[in-house]
Amino acid sequence: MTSLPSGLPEHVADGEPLARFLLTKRYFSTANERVKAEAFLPPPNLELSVFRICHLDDSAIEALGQPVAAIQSKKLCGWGRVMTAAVRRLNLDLEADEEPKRHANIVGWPTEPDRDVQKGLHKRIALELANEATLVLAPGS
Amino acid sequence: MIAQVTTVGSLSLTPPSPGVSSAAEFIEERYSDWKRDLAGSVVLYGPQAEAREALEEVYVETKEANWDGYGALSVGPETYDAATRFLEALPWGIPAPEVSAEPDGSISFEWFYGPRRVISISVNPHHRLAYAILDGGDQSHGAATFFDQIPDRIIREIRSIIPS
Repeated sequence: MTSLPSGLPEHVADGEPLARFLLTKRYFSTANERVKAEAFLPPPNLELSVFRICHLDDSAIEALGQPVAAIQSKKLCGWGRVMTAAVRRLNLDLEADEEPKRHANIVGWPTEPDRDVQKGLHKRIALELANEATLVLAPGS
Repeated sequence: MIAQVTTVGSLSLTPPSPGVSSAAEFIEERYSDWKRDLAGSVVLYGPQAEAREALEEVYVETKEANWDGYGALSVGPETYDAATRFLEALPWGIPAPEVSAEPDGSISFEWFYGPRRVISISVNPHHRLAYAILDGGDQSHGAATFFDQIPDRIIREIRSIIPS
C-alpha cells in the first residue's frame, strides 16, 4: 500500500475521523453546539478540504489547524469532526491530497444540469454531513 | 381584471392579480403602499427585525472575498438586496431564521428545530432560491423562482418545519 509523506496510507479508511477546520463563526452555532451545513458546502471545484486526524488528540489537531488558518490570515475557531464512513454513506468519497500533510478532499459531489437545483442538492448533502459532525471549539475561540 | 380583496384582519399578503384598467392600477398601487407599510412595521418590530440585524451583520462580515478562509466569494449588494426582499416577503407569524453566508456568495436562511427538522434556503441575485429540507425520514431539495414573492410551496415547507 502506498504511503504518503505523513506516513498515512493513500486510501482513507472508513474508520478514520476527519476535521473540517472552521475559520469563520458563520459556519457553526455555539447556541446549539453544532456545525452548520454551510461549512460542508463544496467550493466550485467540488473538492471539500478536510484533514485526516487519526491518532491525534485535540491539541495535535489544533496544531494541525493553526497553520491552515494562519496562511489565510484567519483565526482557527474550531473544527467539525466527522467519520469517513459517514461521508461514504452519502455517496461521497475521500481522496488523499498531500501536501500539506494529512490533507484530503471530499469528492464525488453529484452534479445537475440546473445550477440552482444542484445547489439545493449540495445543501441537502451538507445538512446531512453537518448532522454527522461534532463541533470542537479551539481553546480560546 | 379581478381585484382580490385583501383583508387586513387576517394579515393576508396575497397580491391582487395583475390588471390593465386604471381602477386595477389604483388597487395595485394601494396594495403596494399597504404592503410596504405593513412590512415596515414587521421589519422594525417583529421577529424579522432580529433577522434583519443578523443579515446586516453577515453582510458586513462577508463583503470581502475569502471571508471563510476557503476562497468564498464575497456577498454582493445585489444578494443583500435580494435577501432583504426575501425577509420582507415572509408572511406574518414565521419566526426569524438563522442567517449565514455560503461559499458561492449566497445568503442562507435556516430554520433549525433539530437535526432532522430543518430547512435551509439560499438567496442569490439571480431571482432563484435553492433549498434543502430534512423532515424526519423525509428529505428534499430543489430550486424556485423568487422576485418579490416567495412561492407558496416554499412557505408551506417552512411552516411544516416550525413546531406548532
